[in-house]
Amino acid sequence: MRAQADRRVSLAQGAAVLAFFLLWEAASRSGLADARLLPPPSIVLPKVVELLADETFRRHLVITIQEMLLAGLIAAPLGIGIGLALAESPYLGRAFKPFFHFVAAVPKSVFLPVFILLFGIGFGQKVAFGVFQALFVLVIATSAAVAAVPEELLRLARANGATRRQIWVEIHWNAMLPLILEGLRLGMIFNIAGVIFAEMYVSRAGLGQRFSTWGESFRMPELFAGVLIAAGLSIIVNETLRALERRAGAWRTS
Amino acid sequence: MSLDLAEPRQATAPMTPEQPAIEIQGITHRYKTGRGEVLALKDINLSIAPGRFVGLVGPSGCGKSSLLMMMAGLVRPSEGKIDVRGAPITGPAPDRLGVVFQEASLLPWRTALENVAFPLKLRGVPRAEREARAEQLLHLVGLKGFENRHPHELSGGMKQRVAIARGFCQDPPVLLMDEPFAALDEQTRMTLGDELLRIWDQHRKTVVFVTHGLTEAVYLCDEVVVLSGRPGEVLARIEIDLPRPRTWEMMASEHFGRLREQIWSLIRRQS
Amino acid sequence: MSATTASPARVEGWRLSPVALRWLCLAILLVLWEIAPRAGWVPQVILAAPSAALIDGLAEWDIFASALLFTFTEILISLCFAYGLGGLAGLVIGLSPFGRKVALPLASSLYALPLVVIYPVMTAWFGIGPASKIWFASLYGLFPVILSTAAGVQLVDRNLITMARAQGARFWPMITEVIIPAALPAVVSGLRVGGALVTVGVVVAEMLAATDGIGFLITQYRTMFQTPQVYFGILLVLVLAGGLDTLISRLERRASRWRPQQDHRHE
Repeated sequence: MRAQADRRVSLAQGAAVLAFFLLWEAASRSGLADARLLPPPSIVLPKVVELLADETFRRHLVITIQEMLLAGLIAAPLGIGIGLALAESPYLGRAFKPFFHFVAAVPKSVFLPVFILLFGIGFGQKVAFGVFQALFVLVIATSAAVAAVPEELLRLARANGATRRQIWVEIHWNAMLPLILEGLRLGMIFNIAGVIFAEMYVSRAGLGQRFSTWGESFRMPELFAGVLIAAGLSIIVNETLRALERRAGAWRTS
Repeated sequence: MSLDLAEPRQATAPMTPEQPAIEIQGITHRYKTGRGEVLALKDINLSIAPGRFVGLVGPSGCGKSSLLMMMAGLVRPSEGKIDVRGAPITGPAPDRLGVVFQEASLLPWRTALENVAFPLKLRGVPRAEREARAEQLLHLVGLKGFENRHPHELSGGMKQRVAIARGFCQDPPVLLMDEPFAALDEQTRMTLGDELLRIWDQHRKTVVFVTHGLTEAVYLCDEVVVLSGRPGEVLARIEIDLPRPRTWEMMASEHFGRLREQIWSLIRRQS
Repeated sequence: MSATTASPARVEGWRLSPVALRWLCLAILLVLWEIAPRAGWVPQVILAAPSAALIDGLAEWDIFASALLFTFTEILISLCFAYGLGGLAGLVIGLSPFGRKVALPLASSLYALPLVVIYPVMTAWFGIGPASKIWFASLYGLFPVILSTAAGVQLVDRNLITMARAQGARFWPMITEVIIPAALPAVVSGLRVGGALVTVGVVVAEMLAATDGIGFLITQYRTMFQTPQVYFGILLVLVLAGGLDTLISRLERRASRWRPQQDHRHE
């Protein structure tokens, strides 16, 4: 029964996505929308395949992926480390947590010009900007994760003579992992958006740079195909991390 | 210690054979779950005379709350019909039925006064008029001075008083109460029960009172209807022939104990 | 908590209170920022001293003010669209259990996409004037409003709905008297996120391609290497975003004034 209801939901979701593409196709075919401005999916989707087969485009794509992954690799240990430090030391936490909360709430995209002034317009600047976008949410998620470890479990473990190491492995790790992964997922979303935005702003290479060029020269089929590829990229990252998050948090609610 | 109540007087307010306040005819209810269809209620027939205080008890899951929700017009039965004051119930009928729920269900963003006045607001009664009425009712339930408090500033018992006042707000002839004191502690429950009887005595509305508490049922009611376990059927209608006004001393009487025992043995056999 | 952390500071004599440490660090940072470019440790074209940013920025206040007004207008219009459409869509989705199951995962997946990629589409369609900014920013701010409105509506206490139904409440009174007030705190916190995104959306769009507005101005100054003005422009955007956020969070506090966890001394 439950599975049947789930299937109905997935079916309706599939139908909604399909309807979106059909409407899109119909709109540009019927002339309701200018097909030069809104190329139909029947043109855009083959374009996706064509782009992915294209050597030059793949080079741009790989650059973006490298920037994004490197930024993630830097931001993850840094953010988790700072978050743990803030949570474990009440003194540091009280001193700097408000600062991180404040910066996390600030619109960070406007700082992009500063990154250009500081790091130029190359690969390093994109990575730095990606790290900047991802870092703060990760710090906050991590320190929140530590705070969310159930106090009564810690007391129970201590009462049973668990060592510090055992407490970390048995309790902290399990209780914190889903929340940290959620922070990581949000960080990666911001990171991807940040990297692509930086590429669109000023760049010599990367997905975003392609988008800007295509947009300015009205190459709509390429632009739409590129948008779909970027969407696909972030969906892959998002869903992968979400799946990990679900597995790690399976104990939370069945 | 125990008072001799072996020969209790006849309950007050003799019932004239006029039209029943509530007439339940052939109510059967089924619902679907993941594992197939469940027969919740089977052929319930009940006639409740005006002004009576009737308890509805039964084992957990016997459908007594569902039956009350059907009277309130909130759940549609699979079969059968319910008449209240001679007219069928097809949906909520707030002019004929006041409902008090287990959770006080107060609007948390409204004051006690506004909560009591809420049904009148829905009917478009002008503000001054509805608030005057609500104020009266708050006084009646002993909440004078709490008019402008928000629900979170009230204790559980006070919230339930507000809910009772709201049930009286449209002055409906019938009051349906779904385990209204279940979430309260023992002492509050006893006090509120007395308060309820006091108010009821002034207005003599027909009350249908669903409860888990057998002592409470015997103490409050003129009659207790015992439902069987699933499917719920009427097992017995037990006349509570204790005199009114009821007093706490009665609870210790042998007769009280016998009535309570009689109901308990009926229910126990079910589970 | 504060007593336990404060007392060793007094006993040991040298240990700062955490709050003092925070402000000290920020002050040191600010001073370093001021000195570094002035002393020539960092080229002035990369890092402008805060004082220079303020002085040079205020010197061109007229330009900044008109750009800010332009941006602010775009933000306001986008907010109307994002809030109106998002609130309505969220209400509809939240009210229907099936719609919720179908639409919420889709909306949250869309929320996860780097929406900035559609901005070139917007400029191709609507030009580089305000229209493309408004379209883009409205879309950008739409999803959090939808998601939080739907979540708020979904989480309305079922008992209250049953109660109101028993009192004979019909569709509209149910919406206005029960569902909207109950969902309001969640909705307003969505408005807060949405408002921040709309602000960022407009400014980002202006930075990418525009003819006017604060984002455009920042980019222009950057290409001309007028670094102090760049920093001043960024500061203005932060003030704008902060002001909007303060406004909405005040609204948020009002919306949930009836809640027990709120401090009632404000009333």
